Amino acid sequence: MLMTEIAASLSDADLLAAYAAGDMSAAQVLSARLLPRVMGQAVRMLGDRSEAEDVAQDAMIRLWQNAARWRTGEAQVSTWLYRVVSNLCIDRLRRRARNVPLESVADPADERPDVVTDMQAKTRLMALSEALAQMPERQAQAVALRHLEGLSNPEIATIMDISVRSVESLTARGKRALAALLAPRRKELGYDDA
Amino acid sequence: MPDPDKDDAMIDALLADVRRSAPSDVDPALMSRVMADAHRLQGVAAPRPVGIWTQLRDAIGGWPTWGGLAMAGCAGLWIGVAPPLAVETFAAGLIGTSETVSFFGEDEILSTEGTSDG
Repeated sequence: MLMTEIAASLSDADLLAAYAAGDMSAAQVLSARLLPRVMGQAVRMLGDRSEAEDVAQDAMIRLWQNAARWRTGEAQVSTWLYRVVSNLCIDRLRRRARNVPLESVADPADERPDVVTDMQAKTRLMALSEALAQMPERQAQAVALRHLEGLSNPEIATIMDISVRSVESLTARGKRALAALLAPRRKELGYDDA
Repeated sequence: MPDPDKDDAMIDALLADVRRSAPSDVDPALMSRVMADAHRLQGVAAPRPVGIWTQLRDAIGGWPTWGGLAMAGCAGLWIGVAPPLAVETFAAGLIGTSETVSFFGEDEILSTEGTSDG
């Protein structure tokens, strides 16, 4: 059995290999390491904690399923997870945009007090999520990875499997699209004096 | 009137606020579900050694193909042992029937007369 202290010093790929070989403590260390980031990315894109938890669980299931086939050195676990979470969130945003009227999106079902305590922050989070749902999906993905996750353009290029130049173009157009969608809500979002 | 600079500033401020304020803490119940999935999928994750019979079976097409082969073999054996009339008629029409012609009468073949020295 791999000791938890040793596991903590291993890379994500090494931990995944240890899990595939039957070591559950490696899965525990890996989950503790990756899940907060996965969860944060999903909440920022979806604006809803309950949906974000579903996405996070789904992303981790895909990670466990791919553990035995993972080839160290080919792709970073974190890069792969960014892509998986981003795609899962975009899928949900698309479905939301197709099926659900915006009024009901703006009022999330999850009303637990720890979701976002500040009402203003909650309104902004939901407004951004609604806007991302209405944008072309590659633009939404690029904007979210650049401005919500703080990744560099080369990192985003790897995640989205496109050139750095394409990332720059997508993020620029994405921000213009966001401005067009959200500028009319300036007052509601509390940026009247910005 | 739209002001692009003002709109840009608002979007930058919104993105920064969302990035700062969105919670990323993990509920213990979610962690439990993720670990339960990891337990459940460990068998799937571990690569199993593949034996020669498994490789052969997979190369041919798996169990359904083996079943088909077995059924075809049994049917062929049955037709060979007890051919139905239709098969005999069809075969006769295709390749004709065989006739046995003997140049000696049956009595001549079976008779022992004249074959002894004494």
